[in-house]
Amino acid sequence: MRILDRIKQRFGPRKKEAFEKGKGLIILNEVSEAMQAEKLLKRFGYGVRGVAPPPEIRKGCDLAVEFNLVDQLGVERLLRRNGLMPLDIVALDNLSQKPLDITKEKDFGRYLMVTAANMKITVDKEKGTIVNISGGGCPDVPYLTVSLVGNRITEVKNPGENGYSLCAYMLEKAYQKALSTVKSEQTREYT
Amino acid sequence: MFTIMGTLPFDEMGLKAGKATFEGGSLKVEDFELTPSLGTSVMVASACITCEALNLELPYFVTAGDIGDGKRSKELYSYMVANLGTLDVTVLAMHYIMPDIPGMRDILDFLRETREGVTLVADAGAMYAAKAAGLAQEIDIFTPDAGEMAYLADPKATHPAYVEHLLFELDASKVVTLIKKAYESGNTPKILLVKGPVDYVVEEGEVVETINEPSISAMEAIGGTGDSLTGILSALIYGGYEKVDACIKAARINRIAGKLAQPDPSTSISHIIDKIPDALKEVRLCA
Repeated sequence: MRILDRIKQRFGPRKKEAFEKGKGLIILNEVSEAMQAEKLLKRFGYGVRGVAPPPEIRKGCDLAVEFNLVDQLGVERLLRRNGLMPLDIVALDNLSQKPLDITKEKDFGRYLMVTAANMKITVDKEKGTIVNISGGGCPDVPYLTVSLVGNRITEVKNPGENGYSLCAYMLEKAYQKALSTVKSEQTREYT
Repeated sequence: MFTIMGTLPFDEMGLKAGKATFEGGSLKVEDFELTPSLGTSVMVASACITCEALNLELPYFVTAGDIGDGKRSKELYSYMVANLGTLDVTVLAMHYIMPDIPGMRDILDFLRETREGVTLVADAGAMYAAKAAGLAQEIDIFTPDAGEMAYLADPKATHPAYVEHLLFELDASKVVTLIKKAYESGNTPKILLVKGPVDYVVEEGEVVETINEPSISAMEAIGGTGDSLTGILSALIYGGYEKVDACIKAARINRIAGKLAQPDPSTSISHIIDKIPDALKEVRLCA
């Protein structure tokens, strides 16, 4: 309890500042996990800090880690690889809002374009190759495009493994939808 | 001076600033050379092609390598704040960069004091950052697509990934609803060029022109067609065209370049930007 009080004292005055635009909050199960997460993310150069989560989203410990929401993909991956599983990640600007989980498809005949938020991926359904990636605004989108376009969607490393940003996060969603479509097309051909 | 700011997807590339050139399919800045693909490289290449065809000075390109961790994006924001005073900028086009609210705020704070006669164009990450910072009205022109229009229309979202489902699910034909909503919430600049199956030119929340010909549906799937549009637009403004007129002309030129390339959804953007000089001739902007 004393440790918890010290942590509260340390981070308490910053509580109000947590509600800055563009920030997200990582909710973990225990204070020790939150502290580990903060330390780990700082070591990898992320701008993070420990804060008290707002009461309406308090789920586990009363220490959470505030981060730049745009870094969500890289942050989640780093935590996961180090055995830290967040209970939740929320946008401080809108606590009930989650990243979009719906996609839209446009059929060009041989080609299929899948859109997730601001990201689009287009695949050749016959060859199973990624032929174009469009949209986005974060720097990892052009980087991921180079490694994805021209390659078979079933053979590439998925964008969630190499990206860092929310744009890459949405590209991953579009990629997964396109991948499942290509796989079901291939299955239908074989049967 | 026509200045472009944006990242390139190379991990090892430090900050570079210099006159950009585009020759033989290759974009050069300082000692760095690359083949344009999706992103800022296409925007700069398209701007170079347009400037050259119109006999304008080539753009000054400030860039840094960033593959998504955002470290060099921060350097780029800082460099711009430190050097904008000496660059004699008349058009500043900001593009792919990690959306960093304090970084964008610093640039716009600096320009607020000195920006008379400077036209600001923002697309991609720079547009996301300006809107997230609540500073969209300090930019002159945004160039969003329909998904990004939903982001501008959602007052709470600080990235297009966190848009309300209902706004994202709106049909493309409802873009005007999003435009009105975005304008009412103060999250747009004075002018918008909304790209899509129909391009909308919007001034003060009102659609002043729609462009839907030539209609090349495959362009929506081709990565970089929005980047080429922003490059052409910024160059036309630098060339002295009035902002709304430049938006209308840029939309037409980009569509004509697409038509001339005869694309399908697998076409590379390089085939389309090669056609910009012919498209400029077709709209009689150059001989």
